[in-house]
Amino acid sequence: MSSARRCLLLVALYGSPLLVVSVTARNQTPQALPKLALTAALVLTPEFCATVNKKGHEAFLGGSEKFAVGKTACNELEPALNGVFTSLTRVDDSSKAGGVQLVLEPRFADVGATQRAFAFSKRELVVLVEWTARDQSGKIVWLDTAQGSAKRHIGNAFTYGSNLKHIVEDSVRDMAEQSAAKMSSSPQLLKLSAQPVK
Amino acid sequence: MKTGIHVILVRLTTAFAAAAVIALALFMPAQAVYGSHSFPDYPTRSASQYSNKVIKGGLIVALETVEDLERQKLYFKSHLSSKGILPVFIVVQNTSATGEYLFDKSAVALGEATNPSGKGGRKIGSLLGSGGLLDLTLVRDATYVRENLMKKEVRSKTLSPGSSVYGFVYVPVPTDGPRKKLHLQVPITNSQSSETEVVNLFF
Repeated sequence: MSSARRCLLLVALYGSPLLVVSVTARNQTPQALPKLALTAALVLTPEFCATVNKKGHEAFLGGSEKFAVGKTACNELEPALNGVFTSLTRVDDSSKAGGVQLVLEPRFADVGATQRAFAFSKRELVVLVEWTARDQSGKIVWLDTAQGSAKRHIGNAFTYGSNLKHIVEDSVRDMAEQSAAKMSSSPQLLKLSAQPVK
Repeated sequence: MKTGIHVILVRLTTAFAAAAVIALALFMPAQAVYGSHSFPDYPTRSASQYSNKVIKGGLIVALETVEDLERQKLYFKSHLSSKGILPVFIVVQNTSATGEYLFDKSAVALGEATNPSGKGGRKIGSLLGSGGLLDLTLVRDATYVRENLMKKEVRSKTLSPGSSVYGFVYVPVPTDGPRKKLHLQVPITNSQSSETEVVNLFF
């Protein structure tokens, strides 16, 4: 066997597992959550949807890295929370919530990203969203924080953009699923759900 | 001519393969290093077991500072005090049978504003939130240390009977001398009456 072939064989043997893109975010279909007998409004303000988190000072292709978490969250939250409530209406301002029993207001608490030096090195993106739920009188009935995270390779010059997009999608989707799970198991929301409709 | 091209192709293939092996050798340590970025969880106890605590109605609010540099290195992989940051662990426990409370992280604040001195302290001075505590959202570093600070930070939560919330707040301290006695204000809102009570802790 020539030295070139030997080298190629080595690459094939040891390199191929590294080439597999791996994602550790929970991509499985979420389990059916118990439905709350509540009508809710999900307030996704233009500011929330426009949230872009900037991280780092020396990004892969120069400048800081930008994570468009707001745009992704505004695509992912409504479908994730739809199954939690009897009805869910999306509004862009809490004043447009109408006569719903619960008004849900998300806020990005923080976004954490790590950088790695090599293309095949995994990095993590963590998204924290703080939820405030108000009843019809405007009183806060529930406050909690949901964390979503995902790990993915940084990627090389050709795959960097795609990997960045996917890590944002995976972490935000995870955050949306964690939010749905927290809401459906919240004693405060379950109690409100059990109360007769006024 | 045909032989010449063949030789060039073989040499190019050899060079490519060698480069690939070198690149592989470079990537392998990176994978190994990744596994070392694990930060141990800070040990938690029931709020009543902390020496510095305040008991108010159905609530216990406790605090523990992590001043020891070796402990900072263990849980944060950094000597935070030398960078002007003192990690302060807080525990809020609802011990009432029926009462529910809202803990809003953003309302936690230092009783008196501090102007941290020293090189590290002055740098931290520009990263403080309205409550005088370190605001991590202003720290743009994309490092595992920063991410770990974020994961360990205390979070807003509704406290049902028997439940608790715990995590760190990061207090600015001088790097060129001893710190003065500090005062942390922890507001807690009763979710039934909407009344807010401020718990004061000194350390």
